Amino acid sequence: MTTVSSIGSRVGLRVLQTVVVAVFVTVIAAVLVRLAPGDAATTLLGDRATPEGVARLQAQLGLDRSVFAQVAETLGNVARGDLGTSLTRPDQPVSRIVLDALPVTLSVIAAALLVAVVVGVPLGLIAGTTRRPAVDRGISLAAIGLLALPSFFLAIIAILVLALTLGIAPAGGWGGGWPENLKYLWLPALSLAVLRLPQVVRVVREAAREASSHEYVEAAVARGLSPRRVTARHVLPNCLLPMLALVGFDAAVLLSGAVVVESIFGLPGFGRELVTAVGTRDYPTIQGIALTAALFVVFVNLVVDALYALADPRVRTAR
Amino acid sequence: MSATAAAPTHPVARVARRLRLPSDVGLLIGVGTLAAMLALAFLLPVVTGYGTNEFAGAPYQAPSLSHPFGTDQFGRDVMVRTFAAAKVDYMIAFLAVGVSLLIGTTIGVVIGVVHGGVVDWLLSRLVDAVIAFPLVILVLALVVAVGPEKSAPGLPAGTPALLIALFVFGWAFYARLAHAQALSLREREFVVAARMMGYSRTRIVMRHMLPNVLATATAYAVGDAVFIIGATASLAFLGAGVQPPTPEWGQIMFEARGVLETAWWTSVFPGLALVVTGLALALIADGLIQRLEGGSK
Repeated sequence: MTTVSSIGSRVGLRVLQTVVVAVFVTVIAAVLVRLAPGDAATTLLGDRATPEGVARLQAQLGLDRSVFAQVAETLGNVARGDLGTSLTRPDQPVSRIVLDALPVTLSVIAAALLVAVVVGVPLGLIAGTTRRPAVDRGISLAAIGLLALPSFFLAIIAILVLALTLGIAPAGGWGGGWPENLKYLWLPALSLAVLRLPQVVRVVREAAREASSHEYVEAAVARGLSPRRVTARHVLPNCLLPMLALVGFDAAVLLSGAVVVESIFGLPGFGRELVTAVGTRDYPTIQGIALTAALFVVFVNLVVDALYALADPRVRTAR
Repeated sequence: MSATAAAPTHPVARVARRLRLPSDVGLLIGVGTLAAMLALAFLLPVVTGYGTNEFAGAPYQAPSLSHPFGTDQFGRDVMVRTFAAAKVDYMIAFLAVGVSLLIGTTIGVVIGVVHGGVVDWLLSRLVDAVIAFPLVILVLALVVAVGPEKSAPGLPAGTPALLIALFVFGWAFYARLAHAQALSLREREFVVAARMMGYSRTRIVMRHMLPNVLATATAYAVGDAVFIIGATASLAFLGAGVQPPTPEWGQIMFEARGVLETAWWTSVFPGLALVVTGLALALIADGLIQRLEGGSK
């Protein structure tokens, strides 16, 4: 039934979807500035607004032209990789600011994902395979508490306990390069990972429960395989796909969390650039970061979909 | 981005399910807790005689009989402020979730009804695009556009920008949810029967589909409120949430961040209030879903 051409058209449709979503993302980012009540240029200048200043800024932001012209121009510029120029740092193209900050934010997210998997998968497997409801209940109570707490609070506690009291990590800052950065990276990554932990545990737990009910797992138990081997060989692989879906689903949430955690630890990533830009109302920078972040999420979802197809034997053998 | 992502049960409610409380017990505890916190928010200033922004004694007093949660850096009563913040946080969560739900559900059902075709496809891509924006970054961008110090009648400074951002962002989730639901409802017996009996499309949507979609969306929204309150609190840290002196849990904890070691009561009690609220909402969400599942059998 599944032919090469239908897979080809499915991939084509998926790529077309991504392109259209990316265009919409760009339009939304371009329209954001126009949501200001009154004129964005006046809002941006605040008390310092003079007629000439407003006119100059309007021209610079392109607000003196029609909405369609502005959106069309933004689309063209983004396609060429041009995100405009920072208002407060006229010598800095926004693309430069974004490209400098992106690796920091990505390394925080990557390290946090690593920690969340290393800690969360075993916890989820325990919760999913335990026969004691008390353990399961305890884990869920803690999970709700973690889901409800604001992300910055845990980071502050981490700084207080691990950095200031125990002194096993710097309380903030960033090294000059790798691997020196690792020293500054692990505490922010841990804080972000703890916040995402309830989700990882929940997904692994549900996948483990689901897998345990399959006949091949019962058959493996009946063949006399040790519980550990059954978990490792038959239950764990079934948790991989839901985990992958979670990463795709959670990419935007991870970015939000990274922004908050970075600003607490003073890392030179998106968080710091955003807070600085918000303070100085540097609109092009904020727009550039919002656009890059959303495009990144769209890209991650495309990659996750592709990996999903590669990792799922049912999809793989269908070729 | 895949259709399977539209899980009708909110993660928070799914975690709460594992507490295995019967739906009546969960709903009673949840609603009772929220009502008690709101009642205290209105009663405490009257009983204690301290307003939310009034000097109530020396700064940084440890918890005592006269100030059960202690006092903060300005000598304000932390207990009065903690419960007063419930009013602000509940209002933000209620408005954000309620408006998102109404807009999103309507759009989602419309996409589901015009199933297939270019409109369906394009609207679904718009939903994907909105969901791709990280909430915190979107709020920061909008706060700059709207102005962080802006207030509106009945809304404290900082909340209009926050609420606009939560609306702009929030509807898309409900649209995706309602879309998926509308698609599955189309095939259900009672909808098929209504179609065969020759009822108009409008009548089928209004009488048969919308009530079902709204019920599921409401249960989802209660779980979502937990995330909204957490996000509101986190945004206070970035200067984009509710502006001081209006008490809001995240704002209070943010102001108290420097004295966590010496005056722990200034941030621990608001934090506890947050967690208790999250637990209450999770129990309500789970209770509602149990009711829905029971009703559909």
